[in-house]
Amino acid sequence: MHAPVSRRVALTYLLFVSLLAVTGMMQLPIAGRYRITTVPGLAWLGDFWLTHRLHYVGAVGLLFLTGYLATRWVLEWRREYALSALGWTRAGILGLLLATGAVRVLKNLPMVSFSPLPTLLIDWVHLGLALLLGLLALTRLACRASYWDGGAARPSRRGNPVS
Amino acid sequence: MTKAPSRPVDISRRRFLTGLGVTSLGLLLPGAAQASKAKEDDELVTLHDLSKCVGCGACVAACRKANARKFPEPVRPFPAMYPATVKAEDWSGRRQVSDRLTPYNWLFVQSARGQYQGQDFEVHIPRRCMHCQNPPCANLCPWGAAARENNGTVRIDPTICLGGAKCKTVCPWQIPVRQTGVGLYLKLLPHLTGNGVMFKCDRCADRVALGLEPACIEACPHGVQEIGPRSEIVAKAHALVRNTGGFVYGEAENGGTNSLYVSPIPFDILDAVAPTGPGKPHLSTVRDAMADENKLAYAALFAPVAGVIAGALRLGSRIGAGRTPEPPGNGDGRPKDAGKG
Ligand code: SF4
Ligand code: SF4
Ligand code: SF4
Repeated sequence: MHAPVSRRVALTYLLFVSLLAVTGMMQLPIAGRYRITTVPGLAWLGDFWLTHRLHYVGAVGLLFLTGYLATRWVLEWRREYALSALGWTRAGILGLLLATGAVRVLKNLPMVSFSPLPTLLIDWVHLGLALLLGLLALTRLACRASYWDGGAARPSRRGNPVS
Repeated sequence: MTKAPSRPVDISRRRFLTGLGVTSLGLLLPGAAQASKAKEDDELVTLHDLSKCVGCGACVAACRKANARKFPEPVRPFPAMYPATVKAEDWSGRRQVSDRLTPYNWLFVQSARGQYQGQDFEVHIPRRCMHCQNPPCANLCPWGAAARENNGTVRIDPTICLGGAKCKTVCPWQIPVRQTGVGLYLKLLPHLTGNGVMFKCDRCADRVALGLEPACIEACPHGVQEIGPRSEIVAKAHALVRNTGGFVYGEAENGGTNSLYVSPIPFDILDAVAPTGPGKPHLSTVRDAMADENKLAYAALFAPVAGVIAGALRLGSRIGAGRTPEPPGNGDGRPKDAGKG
């Protein structure tokens, strides 16, 4: 069973998600406290502004990729490939991660104010979802499962993704 | 926005929905602009006319009195920190310190003495949080503890703050100060995360919510400071600058703050002679710390749209070239998996 996405696209996804995971974790003030910044080559992880901007850059990349892949899936691959239960779970988590991230970006715009409780909930849900996405990826590796149903292993299914 | 400026704020429904629309669809820019405009009128701004300040410190004393019940009462002994390089920050034995910002002193008077155009001058500058219009302390707080309210007040919630001090690091004036031994971290992983709570001026949010003025404004015997809606106070500051040949600080700093200072002496000269350092903020010009993020936010807004267009164009180009929609397994158009499925 293989995915319709190419290796190149999969690696790009991995790159953006890894960048987001690292820079996202570094939004917590842990690089200095746990002396990660003293490790040669990792001092930049302690620069809150740099990691914050890189997180935005990673988000721009992931949003583009998501739009691109979702469109291609709808227009081209959907007939042959359905997402597996694992795939739908990942899509759901990614969707919520992007949505909570978008709300946080919105909050950071000038003149937009959220009171502390919604901000807190958004931050915590975003962090929790990121951890879930990581766990899901580990589970998939451990079980050698696929995010996709279909392809060479299955005959055509016209636009009817199963879960 | 009809909300009373002093009311504690929630996300207004219209702004929230507008926001969601903006983020997900990228179609509601006029709506966002409208929300922004409404926002301006909600904001309260303070104006210090520094030519009137005699440095008596009545405002400092009033601030300490009005906010005493919000001051930290740390639990001892402090939890041991891991790694041991993490140090506790304890101001509880130095509560009387009033010549800098501390968790027990949210306002101090900075006095600058020098010469300008051949004349001696002495200017007293009451200093506290600037209540930035787009505050990095709140935007980069990873925990939601620091937040900007609709009336422009920036507050740190002492029941949520873990005392990681990131707000202080990213604040252009390094305003918030930490007290160890208080707050939520004691209930979570006190040895491993957090280190107390960050404290700073909350612009007397409780008093303002009751319709009162902040304590420092009320206590000043010389009427140095006033508070009001942004448009009105900015106009007053400009008029003061025009009439006195003075200079303004805080209007453009960090992209705009809700604390304006008007001085007869240029602020770069004051900055050069005023005592500055830890707990004693500078008076230099500050670029908008969030400027890059604001640009990236627009890129993020259009990225999914661009992705959809790129995906559609790809199909279009295939069909245009007389090929069928791309078979699965050939996601990047290379021939390796062509024909699969
Ligand atoms: S602002 Fe008013 S109360 Fe504060 S030091 Fe100046 S004159 Fe005194
Ligand atoms: S002056 Fe510093 S602490 Fe105050 S609102 Fe601005 S960034 Fe936050
Ligand atoms: S506004 Fe209130 S909290 Fe802020 S300095 Fe004045 S008295 Fe203190």
